[in-house]
Amino acid sequence: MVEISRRNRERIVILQFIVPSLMIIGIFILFPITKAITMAFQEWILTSSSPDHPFVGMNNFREVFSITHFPKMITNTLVYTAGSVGGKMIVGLGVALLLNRKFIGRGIVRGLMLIPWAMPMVVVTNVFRIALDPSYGLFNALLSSLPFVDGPIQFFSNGPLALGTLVGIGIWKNFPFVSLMLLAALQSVPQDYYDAASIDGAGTLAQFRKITWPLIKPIWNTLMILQILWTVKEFELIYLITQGGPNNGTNIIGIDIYLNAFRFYKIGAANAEGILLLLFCLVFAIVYFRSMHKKGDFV
Amino acid sequence: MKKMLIMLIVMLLVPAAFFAAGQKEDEQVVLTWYQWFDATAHETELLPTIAEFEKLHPNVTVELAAIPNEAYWDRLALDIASGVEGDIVTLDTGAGLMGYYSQRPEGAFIPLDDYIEGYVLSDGTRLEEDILLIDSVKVDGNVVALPYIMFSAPMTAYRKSILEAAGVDPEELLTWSGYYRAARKLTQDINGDGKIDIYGFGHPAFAETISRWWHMHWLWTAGGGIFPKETPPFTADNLIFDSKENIAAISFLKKMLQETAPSGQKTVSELHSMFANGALATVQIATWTLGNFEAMMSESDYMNDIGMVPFPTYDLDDQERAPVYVSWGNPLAISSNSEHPKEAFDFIAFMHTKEAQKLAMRRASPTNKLVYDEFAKIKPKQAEFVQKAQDFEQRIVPDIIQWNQFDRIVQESIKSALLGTTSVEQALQQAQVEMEKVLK
Repeated sequence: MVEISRRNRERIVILQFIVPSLMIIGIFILFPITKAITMAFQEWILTSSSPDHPFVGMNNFREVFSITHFPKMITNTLVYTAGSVGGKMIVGLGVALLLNRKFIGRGIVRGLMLIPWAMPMVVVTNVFRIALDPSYGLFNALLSSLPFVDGPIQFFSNGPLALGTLVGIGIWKNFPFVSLMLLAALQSVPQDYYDAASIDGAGTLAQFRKITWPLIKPIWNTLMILQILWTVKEFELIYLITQGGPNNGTNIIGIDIYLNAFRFYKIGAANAEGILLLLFCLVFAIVYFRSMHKKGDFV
Repeated sequence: MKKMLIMLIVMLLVPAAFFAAGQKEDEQVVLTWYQWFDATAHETELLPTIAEFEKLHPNVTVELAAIPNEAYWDRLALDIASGVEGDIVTLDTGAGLMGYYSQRPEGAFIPLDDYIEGYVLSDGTRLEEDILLIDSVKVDGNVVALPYIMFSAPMTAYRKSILEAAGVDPEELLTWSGYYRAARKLTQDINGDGKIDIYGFGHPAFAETISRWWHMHWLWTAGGGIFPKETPPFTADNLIFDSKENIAAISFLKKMLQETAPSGQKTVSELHSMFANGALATVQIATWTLGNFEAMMSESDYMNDIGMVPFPTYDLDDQERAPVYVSWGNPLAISSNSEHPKEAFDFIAFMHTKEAQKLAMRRASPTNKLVYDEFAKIKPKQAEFVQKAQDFEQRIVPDIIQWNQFDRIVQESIKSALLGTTSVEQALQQAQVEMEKVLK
């Protein structure tokens, strides 16, 4: 009988714990990522019936960079991400500060606040498409009745306005999550700090600057990085309302990846775009993990 | 000992072989049919037809793969790539059929010519003689799919009562210039609140898969299109998308939209609902639209208040061009991966029986010529539509591998031009450059 040393026994036990996780990560995360990276360098066009998918070097990346609307698409992606994340963080913080105050019906308002976030995206897009319709949209009719507004507004008929409207809808849909997280952070700030500051004569703004902000900043930073990672991949909201138009005015990288993969069947080019997005996300993911390390959440 | 062993093996193998052969004979064949039709079509048309077929072929079961319309084409492409598509695949002429066919080196669908030759259905229908469009879906000279229902577009539908109240003669809708004048007269603020209550015209600017059917006949009738008459060679130097004819057509549409139509990006369904509600006086329709109107309107309004005239003749710039219609079908193909092509063909042939075709009339025109008298009785408006459409040239968009990319370019460029994001000329020129890139 083979004698297993104590150290090896410990190793076997450790392996028994980590192998299932490694297998799951390997099959569901590492393999798809490796495959996607490989496909980005292969000729992968579903309609070409080429079964061996030869390696084509950087051709797929070259094709992506040569798309006429590529600069516009990247600009749109950055503008949409910056606008949407900025809006969500600011509105989210404002609402969290309001909901952190004591008032009658606070519990109900906190519950109601979550409705946009809980609504399915398809419902949200339909509600806004109908509400903003220039012919029969209720919201558009209300705006048109204002004295300084000249007729119904064509929200989705010109690129910058359409992108701005989508940013607004994105903020409305997702700010409750930010609010909820920041509200939790605000509630962890001890009341004693504010009492002491009041005795020292600090006003509301000074209290926010000197107490609230430094204490919620780590959560704010983490939330912002997560929001950037989630927003830069946006697809449903834009595709369901404008499909990236008009004239590519709302086309962001998520839309283009979908079109290349599932409309034009250029899987290689779609993967190349996916890799570019992955690299962009990776930068923020590294920042996120570094900030987590600094906080000492990882040992 | 050795002989004994061999005998034993033979004794065991022979009955097993017979048993296996018997099994093969009585084997239950399951065919999967890929289609995107709605629940009503399943209940009223597909399932009863399948039940009839299964009665005649007790060893065959046909299973419907219920794939939603919006997901169908993505799913089909991915399933063909993975080799797991259904035995029977529904296609759409003018929706990139060649693209799907080309996904396999030997073709994703099998040639049907040998099956069709001399095939007579149990009700006497002869596939070669009695079925319309029987050889319309060909690749390299081989028929690869059979259209069992077909569609035409567009006719101009109008609300008789609105035209009468506005003093507009339906004949005015028969030319582009007359249509423009009529649409202006029909666009009215009835209650005097400063807002338009009835629009004279509507056109879908919202880019969606079916928009190609609503743009192309305007381009074709003006003398334009994507390639001349949408016939080969489909090469970059043969593109005519930025032609002056297309510019004239889209400029006209833009003028109509700005002056006589509800603003914003309306979908086809929204426009058809507005027409059914009486908020739109005229609109272009396809054969299947009539079924939707029938469901949305009261019976008396549907029967008495909807009039139809042919799509208008182009009469701008002192030129006259007859309308060009779009025609397409939903052909059924057999996957080259199907293990039961004979049974699959028996089924798609069965979809052309008179009974199956009568059930299909609810939403489309049948392809079996022998049921057209009945079609006129059951669906008089649809039959009138098909009859009138026969007087005009019918075209289909070019069936090229890159169609999906072209489709997106056509839709987005026309949408930009109609909404005024870019000028008509610039939108079409940009689109042509994109098309050239795609072809190269």
